[in-house]
Amino acid sequence: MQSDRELITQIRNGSTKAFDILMSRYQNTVFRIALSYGKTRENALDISQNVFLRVYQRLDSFKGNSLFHTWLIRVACNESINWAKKHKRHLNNELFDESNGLSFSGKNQEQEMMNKEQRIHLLRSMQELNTRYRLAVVLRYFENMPVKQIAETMECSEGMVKNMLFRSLRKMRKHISTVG
Amino acid sequence: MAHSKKFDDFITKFLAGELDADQTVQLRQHAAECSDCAEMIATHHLLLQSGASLETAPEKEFSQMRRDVLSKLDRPKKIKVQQSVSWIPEWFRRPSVAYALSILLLIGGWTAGRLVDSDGRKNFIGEIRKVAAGNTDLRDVQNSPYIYSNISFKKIDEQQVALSFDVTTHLDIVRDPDDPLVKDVLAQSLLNEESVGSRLKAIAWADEVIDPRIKEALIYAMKNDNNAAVRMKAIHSLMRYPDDSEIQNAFIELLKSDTQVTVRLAAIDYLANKKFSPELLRQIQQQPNRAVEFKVKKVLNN
Repeated sequence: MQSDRELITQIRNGSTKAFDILMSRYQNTVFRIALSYGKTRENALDISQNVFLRVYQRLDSFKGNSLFHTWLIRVACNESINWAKKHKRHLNNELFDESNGLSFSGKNQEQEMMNKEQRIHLLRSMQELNTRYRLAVVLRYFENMPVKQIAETMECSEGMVKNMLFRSLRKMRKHISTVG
Repeated sequence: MAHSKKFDDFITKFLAGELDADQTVQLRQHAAECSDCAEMIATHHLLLQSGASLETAPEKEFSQMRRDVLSKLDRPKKIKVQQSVSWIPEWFRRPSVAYALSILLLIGGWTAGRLVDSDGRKNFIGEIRKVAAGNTDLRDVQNSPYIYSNISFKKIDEQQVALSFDVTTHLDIVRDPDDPLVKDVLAQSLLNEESVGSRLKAIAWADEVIDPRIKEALIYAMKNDNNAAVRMKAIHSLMRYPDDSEIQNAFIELLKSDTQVTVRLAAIDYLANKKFSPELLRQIQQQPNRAVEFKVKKVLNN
């Protein structure tokens, strides 16, 4: 498997095939970040497209000081926020739910039915977090990143990341407790 | 079992996956009797489950997305038409209609404002002041149910400060500088992650107020703020306390681990003329940056 660095070199030399491979590698990561701001699957795909276009345009500015993955997440977050600002009016009318493409996998159907409502409520409660807090939650719980890596990605201290997670969950738990 | 700050620290570590076995047992026992912590733990687990099981788009849709991206790679940018407003009827978009609507909204808003219960406002201020009085350290401030923003702070005279801030609703009040609400709002403004400008202003105001919470918030900002200008300003503010051991330890930590050279050089200025053990001095003198190493050996050489 080619490394990110190798693919980037090929992309800079004009290879669209290499860019397609890079997109396949990171499409899920970008999609999950985009979904947390865009709310629906359709919006998340739209945002993802913008993210990868931006990545391609700005690839020359990626110097390799950080991991490509880290740089990509920053681009994804910035594009998601910009998209959400532009589409604020429409987003207010949209909800995280199955009709908008939100779904969870699971083997135990009964368990999944019980938890599904809570999970959807949880994702909706993320919308009330500010953009940085939301990103910290997405990176921790949807990308499974350790705190140290989140701090590097968000360019802040580990202490600040832990504080953001604590405050986010404290806010979100109130919504879960009302669902029961 | 009463909730205590110790368990807030445990929860913070738990969320980061850093709790050791003994602390995990203590937390579990505590959570059996504390609904706050139990809810935090449950939310954490639910988020983990949600993250693990959330389905992304089908590969077919991703393929289409990638094809769309590739097709746009070399195409010149089209000028975007303002499609987002096409659903608004033409007559509604006229400036005269917009002006008339905004005047109506102004009148409506002013009328609604006059109808707001002023007793309710006093009760609300009393309530948040009560919470502020109960906050004794930085952790309490961070965990406060009230988040303050849009803060301004102006000294009127020795007996009064004008404090202006938003907390679900905008408030303008005048209080004694020693009022717990003044100190609480100021401490929180030092933690306002959204705005570098508001944190810098808050540090400037902190010079007017002496309080353990403010000192802790300044130390926190000095060590953790992601903006170097904010850290430097916090350093200069803390230099007012040359003999404080907590501040001294914080400066030693900065000198050992901060990534900014300017911050470490400022820390050396604070620590000049202080006494250190030989081992600590040896640790401090090991610096990757030559300028810092030179200054440390020149200034901290007891």
